[in-house]
Amino acid sequence: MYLEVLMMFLAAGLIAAAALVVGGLLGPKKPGEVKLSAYESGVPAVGSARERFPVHFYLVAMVFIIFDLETAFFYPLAVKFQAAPQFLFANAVIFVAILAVGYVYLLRKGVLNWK
Amino acid sequence: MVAFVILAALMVAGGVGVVTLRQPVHAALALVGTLLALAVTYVTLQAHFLAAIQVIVYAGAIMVLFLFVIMLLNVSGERTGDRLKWLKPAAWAAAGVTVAGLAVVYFLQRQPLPGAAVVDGALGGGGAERIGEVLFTDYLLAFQLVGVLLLTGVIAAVSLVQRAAPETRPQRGGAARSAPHEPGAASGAGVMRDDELVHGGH
Amino acid sequence: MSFPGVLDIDWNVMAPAVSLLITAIVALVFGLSARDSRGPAAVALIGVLTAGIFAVAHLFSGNESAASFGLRYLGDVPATALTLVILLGTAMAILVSWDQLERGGMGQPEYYPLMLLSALGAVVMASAGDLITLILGLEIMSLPAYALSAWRTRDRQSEEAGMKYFLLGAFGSAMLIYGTALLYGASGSFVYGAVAAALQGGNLTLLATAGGALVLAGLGFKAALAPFHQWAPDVYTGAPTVVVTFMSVVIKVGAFAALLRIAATVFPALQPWLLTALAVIVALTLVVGNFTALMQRGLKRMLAYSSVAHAGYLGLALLAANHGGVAAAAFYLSVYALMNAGAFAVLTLVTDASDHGDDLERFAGLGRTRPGLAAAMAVFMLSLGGIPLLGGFTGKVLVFQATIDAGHVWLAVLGIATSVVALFYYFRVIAYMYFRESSHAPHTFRSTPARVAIAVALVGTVLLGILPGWWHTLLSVGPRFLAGY
Repeated sequence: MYLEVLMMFLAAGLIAAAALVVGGLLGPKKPGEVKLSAYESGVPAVGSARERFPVHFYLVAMVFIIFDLETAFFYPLAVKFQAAPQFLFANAVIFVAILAVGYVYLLRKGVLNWK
Repeated sequence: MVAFVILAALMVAGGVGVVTLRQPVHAALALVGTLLALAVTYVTLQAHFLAAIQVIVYAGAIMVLFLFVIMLLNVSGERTGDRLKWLKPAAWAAAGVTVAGLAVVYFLQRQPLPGAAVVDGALGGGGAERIGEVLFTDYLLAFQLVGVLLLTGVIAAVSLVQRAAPETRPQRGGAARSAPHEPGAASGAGVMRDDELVHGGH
Repeated sequence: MSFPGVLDIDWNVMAPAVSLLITAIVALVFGLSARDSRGPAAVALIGVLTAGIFAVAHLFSGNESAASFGLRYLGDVPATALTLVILLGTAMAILVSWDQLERGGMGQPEYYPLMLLSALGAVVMASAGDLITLILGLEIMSLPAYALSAWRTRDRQSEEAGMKYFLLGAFGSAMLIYGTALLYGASGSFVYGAVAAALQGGNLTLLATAGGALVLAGLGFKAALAPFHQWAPDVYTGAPTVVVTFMSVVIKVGAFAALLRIAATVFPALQPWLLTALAVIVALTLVVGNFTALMQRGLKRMLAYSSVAHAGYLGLALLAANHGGVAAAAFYLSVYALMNAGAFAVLTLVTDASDHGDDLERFAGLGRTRPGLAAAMAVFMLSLGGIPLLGGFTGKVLVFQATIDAGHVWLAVLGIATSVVALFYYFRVIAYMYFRESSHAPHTFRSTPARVAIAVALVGTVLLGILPGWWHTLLSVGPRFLAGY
């Protein structure tokens, strides 16, 4: 059933592989120090890419996931909504109310303030 | 069936990769492979909504979180510790025993898998509608508890990171109450100060 | 089919959990603007008492077959009684924390909300009638416990405790979820009773038993049963003592409440080798817990291994779940909550603000400097050791009786033998308090709420020792779990 999709993936892979192989075989190679250095928007690279991130990034990512999951739960709710509007709405309100406490907490703790 | 075997092989390969690869980022990418293969498996079972959620939530959001943690800790490759040398063989042995046990269970108890019609009946075409139907009847309590769990997770994680104890925090311009957070200076400190210790050997 | 059909929500059953949730939210919002942690503590205490009143009202209403959400959330006697025990442990932990948080510089506003949410998770575990609710309850209970273990700022030991607990706890959760998946695969249901019913005469019991073994291992991590107890000593030592007061009671009750229900409903439908494996685990727990506790000098570490040993005694009740083991275990857990929380409460008053100095030496001469405290500690130690006329003894007798009724005579003998070993390490504490000269300055920290907690624990321990009948009779109502069959 998904043969078309599989064929498309194969075609995409083949084209990509072909581009690499052809480029590797035919392209001129004149490596130099500048050419081999990492390209960072044309600016010479400073320091290592492996730097420790402040833990704040993690918090924001986690908050994103929490509310991402909330949305994921709302999708089936929305699809089924017409079957029992009041009931589902009430449940959605409870669910959001619980998470809203978390949101208020995040605001009060200043997690969403980027300094 | 053929598709399942290929996908299962991919998933197992990804799983083994997660455990064996020495670079944490590579391990994370192996995990992405496993999660994506699982999503495709859902597609082959006609569970399209689950597949989409699997990609969005797991392969997308949760993997980002994993990568953040790896960057946060800035671990580069495996450090072979001197202590607990017995741990690695022991872990492999335990994993081997578990896999062998499950394999034995599988071979002793070969059960014809439910046919496509049964699966389809249970999944109802795998759309979000059927999931909504089950989620808001049988698993209504679980749905609300997930909300509580998410709230708990937020509070637990933030309370560990943002330890805004006003008296211990360096006061800045009298704005202690309104600005409890300085990412680099204060909350990062808990992580940063371990740096020398963790990387002492490098 | 009409959607969503009939919703069966019995609010009498849900009330304790709902009041805990609301209290946690109120305490959080209030705590963010409160000046110190005592206000939120009062809010938390009121909430726990309210939940307790609801639970008591339901327990005495005689409505033993009450349930909500189609047997997914149960209000039978064991669930309600263990809910009460959880609330009792939480209330004692709040009282013990009352002054200690400020003293130890741990007064972050999230402390009490997290504690209440953890208690809520344990209540959900105790009331869960299906595996999904159980898993969610377990996670709600565990996440705050991980955070609270690492509560002490800039303390490597506390951070290590949190980290270790988190990693091993996550491992345990993974096993529980895998086991649940296998059980579902074999039976097509998550509800305990339906799982058992589907497996009767089915031909997938081996698969289900593998799932049951994984579930047992996963919950065994939380309950600190022997090969899965490795985290306990380090977490108990590193985490703040006030948090250990909470964890050692609430997490243990939550885990055993779930284990008891599964052992009473699902395990009989599985292959018998699982029960043999459980018997081996229990024997190992009894031996490891008691003999390792014997070798400890630090009191927190000793109490950690002692809690492992008590997990072993409770494990005996698991094996006898359908022979009066449920009531015995519920009784044992009630006493255990009182005496263990009491012992830790004493410990918080004896150790430094930073929790250091829990060495036995610290207790030398306590009988002279703090006679009341020392007497209370002596009673808790005697009760933990199982001396007659105290609650711990009655609990042990009930458990051993159930074990013998279930036909595990050798395990009962092992339990009695290890109880004798246990007496040594409990008596050593008493010996230090009364027969050693103090080389320390007198202990000066006093806290009225902690004293109230100790008094409650003391009265409860003695009362359940001399008058065990009423509570045990109440627990024995409806010896079988309400589980959908």
